[in-house]
Amino acid sequence: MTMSSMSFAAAIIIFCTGFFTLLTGRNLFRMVIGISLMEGALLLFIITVGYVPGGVPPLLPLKGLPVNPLPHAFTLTTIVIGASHIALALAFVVRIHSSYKTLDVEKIRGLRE
Amino acid sequence: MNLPFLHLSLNMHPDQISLVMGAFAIFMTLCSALYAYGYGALAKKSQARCFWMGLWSFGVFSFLTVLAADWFSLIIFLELCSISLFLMILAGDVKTAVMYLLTQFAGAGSLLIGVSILIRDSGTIALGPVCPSAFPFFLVGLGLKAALPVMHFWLPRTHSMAPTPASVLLSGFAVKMGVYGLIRLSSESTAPLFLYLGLTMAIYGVIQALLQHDMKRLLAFHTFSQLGFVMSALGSGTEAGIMAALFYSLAHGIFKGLLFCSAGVMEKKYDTRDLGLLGRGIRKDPVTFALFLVGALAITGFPGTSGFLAKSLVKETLKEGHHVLAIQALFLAGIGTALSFSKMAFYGFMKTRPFSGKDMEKEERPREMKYCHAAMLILALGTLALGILPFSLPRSFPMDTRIWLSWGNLLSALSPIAAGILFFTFLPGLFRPLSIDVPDLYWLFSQLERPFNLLSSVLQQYHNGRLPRYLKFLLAAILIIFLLLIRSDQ
Amino acid sequence: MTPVLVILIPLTGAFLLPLLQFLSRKIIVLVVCLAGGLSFLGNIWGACSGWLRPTVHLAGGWPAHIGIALIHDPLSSPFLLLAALGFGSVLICSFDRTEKFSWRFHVLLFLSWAAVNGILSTGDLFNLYVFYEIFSVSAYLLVAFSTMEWQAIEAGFKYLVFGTVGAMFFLFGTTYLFLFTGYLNMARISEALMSEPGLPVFIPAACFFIALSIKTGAFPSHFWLPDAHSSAKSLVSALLSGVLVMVSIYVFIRLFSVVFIVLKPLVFPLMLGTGSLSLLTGHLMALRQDDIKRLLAYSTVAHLGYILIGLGCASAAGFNAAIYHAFNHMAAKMGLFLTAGILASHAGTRKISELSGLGWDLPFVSILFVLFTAVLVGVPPLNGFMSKWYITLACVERNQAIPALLIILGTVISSGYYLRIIRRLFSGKGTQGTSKDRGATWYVVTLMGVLCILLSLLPLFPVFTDTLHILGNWIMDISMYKDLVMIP
Repeated sequence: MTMSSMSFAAAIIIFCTGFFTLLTGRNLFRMVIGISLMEGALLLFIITVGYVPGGVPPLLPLKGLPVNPLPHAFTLTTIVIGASHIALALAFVVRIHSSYKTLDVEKIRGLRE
Repeated sequence: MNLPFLHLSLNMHPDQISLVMGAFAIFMTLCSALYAYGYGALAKKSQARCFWMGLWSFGVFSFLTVLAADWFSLIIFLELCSISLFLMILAGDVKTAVMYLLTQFAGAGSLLIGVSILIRDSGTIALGPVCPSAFPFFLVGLGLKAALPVMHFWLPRTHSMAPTPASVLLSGFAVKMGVYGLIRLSSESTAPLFLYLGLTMAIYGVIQALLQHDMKRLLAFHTFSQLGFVMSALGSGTEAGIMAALFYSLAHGIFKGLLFCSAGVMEKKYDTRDLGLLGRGIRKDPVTFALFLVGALAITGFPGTSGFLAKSLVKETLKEGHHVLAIQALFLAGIGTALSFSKMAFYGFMKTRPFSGKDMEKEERPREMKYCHAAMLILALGTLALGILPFSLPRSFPMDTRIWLSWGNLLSALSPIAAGILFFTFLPGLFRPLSIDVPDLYWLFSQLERPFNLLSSVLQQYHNGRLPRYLKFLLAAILIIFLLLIRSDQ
Repeated sequence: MTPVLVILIPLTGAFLLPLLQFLSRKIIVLVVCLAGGLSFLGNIWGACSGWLRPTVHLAGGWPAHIGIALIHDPLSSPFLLLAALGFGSVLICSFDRTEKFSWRFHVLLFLSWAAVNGILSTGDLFNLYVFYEIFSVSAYLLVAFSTMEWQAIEAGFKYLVFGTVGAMFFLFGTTYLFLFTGYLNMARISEALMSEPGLPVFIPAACFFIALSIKTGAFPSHFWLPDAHSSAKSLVSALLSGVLVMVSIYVFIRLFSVVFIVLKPLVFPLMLGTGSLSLLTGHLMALRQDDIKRLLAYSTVAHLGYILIGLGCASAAGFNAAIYHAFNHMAAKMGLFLTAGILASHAGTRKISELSGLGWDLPFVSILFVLFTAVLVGVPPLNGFMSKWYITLACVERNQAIPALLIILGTVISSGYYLRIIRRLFSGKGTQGTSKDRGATWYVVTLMGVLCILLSLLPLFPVFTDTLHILGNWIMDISMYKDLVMIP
């Protein structure tokens, strides 16, 4: 198993863990953590895409074959977007708590049918 | 890829048949308007506004429908007519109106699918016989409009619940539009099907009519039966057959309108449609009874009325096609018709049975009845005029009218009437109005609502607001989509 | 320059407003109007230029395969027009006297406008992802920005959870495509995928399909839509249902006709299936609703089903029909949500069973409600009927029997539940008394009515069918798109 494959596999596993947390979390905070995990997995995935075996950081002056710098740019942007998602989610959680007085997702069922 | 029918061009290319039907549309609308003015029993102003809007728009749209030159324009105007009729029926009973509208939308939808298949397979949507792959859809769509067997389930209930002017237009012209469509659809290959459908309709309609006690339901089943006569005429497959069908539709529209008007006058006066509770009509309403009699004679085919000519035409076309069994079946239907109308005349007008305590005679306002009677008079005159002077048809029949006055023809017309009246006179007890309702297909179709309600309540249980459950659905969807798309990995 | 301007103007408006919040209200209103007007004009200009002369703008001067290409082509121009009409009307409505003026709302509005323009103008996948996320986050906030506290927050949170999962799948798809081909430009990826047949293209295709169906609210992932569209203010619901859903449809068309053209036989039947199920679900659930806005939201799900069925036919006729239906749905649904908002605020409740007699109090609004309903049900010769007819034509052409029958079934069921509302509106006597105040919303509603009538008259002119042909051919023939992008 090459470095890349292990990295990809790890990313997929973390994504599935995050999704599982999102699915089964009873507490709203768990769901937000699940989202955060999924985003982290995605970031790992993106970075691994740019990996070149035996590569060096893409900094000038180059000392060999550089890894692809484009995914690094994506990662930065994705971190920002992820941060905005989490921030908004947490803000929602706080407001939900103030009106429902509970964080149990099974009890937050005001809108039904 | 070119789809030449995307742009909406309402083709109008009237030919003789269209013009006749168009004039007939305007005639029926005006008569119905006159009748409705007198009928005036529409309680609320809002309902009245709705009704009149529906009536005038029906007149306009039905005129445009029969002038359409391609199937698509026909469908558009048919749907608009359905909406106009819906507005009219709304003044009577809301549930029935909604049922009517939904069935007509389903029919129009079926026609739309038929037209798209037609475009795909034959590339033209001109009014005429269609290719076999589209034919079933056209049949269903036009059948829902013209009340063909199985697709007639909406007819009895709609007629009995609608206000009478709406029933007049419905039986008088609306189903004729479906017949008009079927006339355009007919060709050599469709003839046998139409013949069998027609005979079924004629006989079944009469049998059901004999079992009814609601006046308007009875008349509705007679519409069904008379449409059977029309369909049999189409079933002969000849040009003369089409002319016979057209003439019969016209004649039927007029005398059925007349019959509905008289039923409506009786209903309004005595506040009931039940034959078991009516009576004494001759003494109290001689005018109504006289006009009713004209209509009853017309529908049974008494010589001198348009019904006689119409039935003779149908018999001629069937004789030419050597459909002996069909003629016998129509003879039986004729007996049944006479029976049923003797029953209606007797129990509705003649029998002097006192009401069981319900002596409600509304005070007759002369103004109202005058208009109703005026409308009925016009219709009666129309019947007689068509019967005596059938010159209004564009293509004059090669046969001389005098041939119809031959003894053979007169005898074959009078014998069912005589047989029917004799049957009734000697076995009156058998035809007493029942007090129960005989089921027809309506019950079956109203059960169609159940699966949808079931399905939607099942769905509703899943939309219960639980986010984890929603997410589990999402997971299932993700897995299914992946599995479905994995097949491309060849 | 046009594509950049189209994105930049609303974005500038969105960023200026928080800076100006300390100034007097008049200046803020002025800035909002100015920004709104310029954005509207920019959209129209972009739509026209995209149609007449498709333009490409390469950001930063980098060539297409390295940099970001901003494109206006005949596919994006109808959607730019749709966005202009939708956002413009919502902007006018937001000045209604009954709404409390809030600069924060306008910031969100302009942000989402800029993001929508960005999605419609970009030719680069990651750029699409970024703008999609800006659009989604501003949509979550718009939903939650409401006077009905707990409902809106709950709806916003559920929308966020769903939308974020969708975003992640979107990014997964993008990354896979980058892994396979090394490009992010859609035209380049398309060419690379076509020339290398051995790649497992189904993985990114599945990721994108999932992401887009979550974002647009198609069947198995539609659960957030009724909550979000019903709890938001009428204004926002109108925007969401009318315009923002169509943006996802644009992305569907762009991605699956350009990028994944190798997978045509598999993806489009899946779209048909999803569309049919959405249709059924939307109509069946709407039958049981008592809340008028939730009913309209389920109706949106159903009409998304119609559009997806149109897309799933994968022919020029199908794409045309779907885009025309998108326009009709926007006009009618915006009108419906706004009139429902007026009716509900007049009666004080959103329950249909308590709206008796409102038709006599507010006759003008109710007649318009009936008009919009007739458009959505498909009463000839209105525009809703014509677009459903086109979709049926496209389906039958492709021998898809079940979707065609479902369209008819949908007409019957939807007339059932809409008639229920109309009966309720016109039953009984008017009790509440007429209200004489006509806010900006009334004008917009009238505008929507006029728009519906205009759209109904369009099929009478052959110019319209020629336009549709050009559009369909452009979508089906991606070599024109690729030449446009890759030459400079």
